[in-house]
Amino acid sequence: MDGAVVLILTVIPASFFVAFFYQAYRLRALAREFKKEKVNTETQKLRVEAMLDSIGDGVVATDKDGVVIFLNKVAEEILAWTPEMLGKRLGDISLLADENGRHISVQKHPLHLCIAKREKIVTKDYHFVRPGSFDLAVYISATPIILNNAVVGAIEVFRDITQEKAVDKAKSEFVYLASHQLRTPLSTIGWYLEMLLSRDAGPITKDQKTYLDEAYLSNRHMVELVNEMLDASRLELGTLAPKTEPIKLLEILNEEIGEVTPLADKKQIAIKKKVPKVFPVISADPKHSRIIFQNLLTNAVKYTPEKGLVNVTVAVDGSNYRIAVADNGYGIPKAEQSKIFSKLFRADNIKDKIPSGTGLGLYTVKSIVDQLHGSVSFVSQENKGTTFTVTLPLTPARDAAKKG
Amino acid sequence: MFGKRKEKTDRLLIVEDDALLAQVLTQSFVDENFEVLNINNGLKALAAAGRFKPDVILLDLVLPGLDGFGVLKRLKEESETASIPVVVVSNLDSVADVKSAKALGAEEFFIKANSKLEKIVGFIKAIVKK
Repeated sequence: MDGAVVLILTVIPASFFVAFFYQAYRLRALAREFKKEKVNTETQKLRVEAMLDSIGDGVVATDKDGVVIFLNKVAEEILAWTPEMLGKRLGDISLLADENGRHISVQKHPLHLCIAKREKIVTKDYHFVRPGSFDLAVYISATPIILNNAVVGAIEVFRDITQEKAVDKAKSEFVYLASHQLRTPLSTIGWYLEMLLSRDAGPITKDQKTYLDEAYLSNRHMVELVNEMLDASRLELGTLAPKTEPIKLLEILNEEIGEVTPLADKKQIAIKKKVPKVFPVISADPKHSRIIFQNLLTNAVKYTPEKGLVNVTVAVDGSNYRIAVADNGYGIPKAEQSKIFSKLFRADNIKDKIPSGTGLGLYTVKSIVDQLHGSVSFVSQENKGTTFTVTLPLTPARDAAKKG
Repeated sequence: MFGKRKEKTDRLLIVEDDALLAQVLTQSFVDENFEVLNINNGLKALAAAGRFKPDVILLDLVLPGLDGFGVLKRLKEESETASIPVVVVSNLDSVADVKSAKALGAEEFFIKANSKLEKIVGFIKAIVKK
């Protein structure tokens, strides 16, 4: 009996001790693991913060109400961050103004707007108003963070674009000067040739008239080239927003058909038009619509032989509208079709037939259409004809809320 | 200084700072029996308009002294020159420039490089006939 008691008195406590030490061992192992994970996570956090701090752009992360929870170094500097700003909404601590100096309300602030609309918002024309410091022109991109279909926060990235804006300003000043400087001698030459050709300086021989006609034609060609270069240059100034107004597209189409009719009549080319009875008044820059119609119509008439046919159609297609200009002319050779929208390109099959042409028309049309988030395409067969189609949205994308 | 007005000739003031251009413009109007005065500076043009009393003015926009818009504005503000029709002839072509010129009272806006000389001459002749 003593032996059994001794056994019980030693085994039971011993097993407790074993279990205890075993659990202690396991707990320490777990603690070691947790510590390792904690160090890992903190290292990763530091790594991410270091990455964000070394980005040249400002990065701000907010919660779903737009309250700032993180900013990187650049953002802190640009926004003149102070600890009192903790817990405030981004729109309340960063004052934005548009290019006319009008302040942007908190709701229209890109970050708050992207949360409300659940879509990326990009703006290029705002600047931060910083009391006691100069205003900073910025490119802003704000994106909502959506998890399980709910907005849980947002990120705003912004970039100083003062340099880019200065370059654009210099470019538009160049365009302004060039339009004057290049055109002046061209006008002088043109007018003197006109005077000579109308015999204001006396009679001219047949040969003299021929040479003068050639010189005059060349002069007109140069003027046309300068005009088109200027139009293309103005479009390339990317940040220039189109000056939209309500326009009657069909009226503009009729005017442009009227402009090209004299040339068409000379070649006995018929221009047929198929348009809807009623077309909505749309918001667009009339100059853009004119350039598109002008180029497509002039090309169709120019590159079609005598007695040919040009068909113009305008139609509404869902939230877009389509303009199609079809001709039964010389067409574009397959080998050259990929280059048709390049600057100064003219296809070989028409260069000799029609010597005058700048190769800028389609480049300009494509620039406009791209800027308006539309599309332009064509189908063509050499010596059978070409059809160009332009598709544009009925309502333009709002400047302050362009989709990413 | 400008002497007695010749009978039956219309007076034209050309405000243009490019000498060659001014020359060809002037010649084409002299050929049409106009009495032409050439001024190449905006400020001087204002003084000249007051004294020469032209029947019509051809005005460039890019000028030394005072630019064409400034000249046009002052011409229309002064009672002695306000009623003289002004035709702008320039190589600036932005929609904004054309609008401004017409808003300030220009009768018409010709882009030099894009306009035939005979068209401009014809327009001026039609104005003075009125």
